Amino acid sequence: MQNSDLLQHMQAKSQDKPLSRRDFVQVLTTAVTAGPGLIAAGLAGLSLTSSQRAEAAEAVVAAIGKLPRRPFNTRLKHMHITPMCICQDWNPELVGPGLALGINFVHKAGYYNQLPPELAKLPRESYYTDITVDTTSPGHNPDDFDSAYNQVVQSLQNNGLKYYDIYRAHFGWHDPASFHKGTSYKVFQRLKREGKVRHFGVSQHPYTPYPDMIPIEVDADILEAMQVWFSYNTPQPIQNAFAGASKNGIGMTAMKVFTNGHQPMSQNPQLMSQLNASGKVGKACIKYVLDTKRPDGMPIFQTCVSALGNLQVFEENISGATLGNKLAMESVQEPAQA
Amino acid sequence: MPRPDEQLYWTPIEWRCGSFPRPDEETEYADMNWLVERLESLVQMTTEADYTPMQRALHPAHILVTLQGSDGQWPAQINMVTGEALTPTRTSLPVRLFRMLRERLSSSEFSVAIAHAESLVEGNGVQNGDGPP
Repeated sequence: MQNSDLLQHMQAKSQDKPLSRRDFVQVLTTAVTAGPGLIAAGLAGLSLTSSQRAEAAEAVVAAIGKLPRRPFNTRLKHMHITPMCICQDWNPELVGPGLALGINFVHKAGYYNQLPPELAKLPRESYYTDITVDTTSPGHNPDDFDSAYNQVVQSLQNNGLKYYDIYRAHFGWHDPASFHKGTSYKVFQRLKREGKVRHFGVSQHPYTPYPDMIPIEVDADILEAMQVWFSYNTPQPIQNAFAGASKNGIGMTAMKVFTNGHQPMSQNPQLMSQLNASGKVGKACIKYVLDTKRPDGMPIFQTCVSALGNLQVFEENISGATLGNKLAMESVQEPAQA
Repeated sequence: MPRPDEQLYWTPIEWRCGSFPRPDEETEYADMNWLVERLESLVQMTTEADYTPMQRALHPAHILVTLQGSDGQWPAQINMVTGEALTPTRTSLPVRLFRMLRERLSSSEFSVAIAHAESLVEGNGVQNGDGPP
């Protein structure tokens, strides 16, 4: 039976009842022969049990191998992180495979009421986390010191993480005036003295246009990490603002990479081919973002976040962050002295 | 209520409410009741194997958090291009969606928005995420 016929046959069979061990091994073996980045794709359409999905994930992880790690830019150069982060809103079945790939940064860890078991058993110092502190959202009071402080303290009591590596003001400041009030930074400073957080950052949404807001935040010289909306087709003035922050040594994380990038990317098959991602929009989006350079030739972003909901998306998107980008070979330059 | 075969269209990413579902490619406003029901239906489509429907709803949910007013509520109808209210009528319906996401994700992500609504709209039906009568 041809491979395609086999998979089609198994797809129909799996809808009636779980595949037998023999059938599952046969279809997984067939899918594995497609090679790295194509295993989960070969299993698409099959209805698998949770243990079968776990075994398929192991095969995907084994084929991809460990993701590279590199300094989180110069201000956070002691933090060597992977080009993609685990997110609290991932499908929980993918946390273990993500850790098996060597992913060592957990975004929105502050939202865990209870740590996933795969994370809970790891030594705390073996991975990095951020907490997105929500007091800077419009409609809320960005000067509510107690609310911000209590959100961090309460979350640590709930999930047992002991500390967060990055305190991220979420969703960022609505305008320069609210930023300059500095309440979030004061909360951070108290939490840092108490050993509950280590570095100050932001997850900045574009309320004020990025080219106007980002330079103001950079010039304040208090931010060590920034997470911003960046994807294929982001206008150049915005990219320039991010390049400036990156050149300043701020650890840069890209978000909305697929949400905002997939439509224009899907209409550019030539670019997808150049990115070695023909037919793989998620892979192309991730690779594009991680490959985008500053004027000095260094990547703007050291990492990104991506919502991974099933094994196919996991394999495709993470394939955009693998060693094929030669990311591991790039060193980090110190910012030029003024 | 959404029909099982209902096709959803999505707003341009450049809009204030970008990547929001809408009934056709022309509509520029969102009726909060219609919007919340569609986002909830995406969450309900989520399975153990596939979280992508819920994640499709997460981005609009994140944006809805940022549109919460100082009164803890949202406009009953919004201009999705600008995020501005199209009516003075207010509603707490997004709270119902946030509670659903909180439970499915086992997450405190929407707790601040929920608590904000509950503390300010007590007695107005926010217990069920309903709008004022």
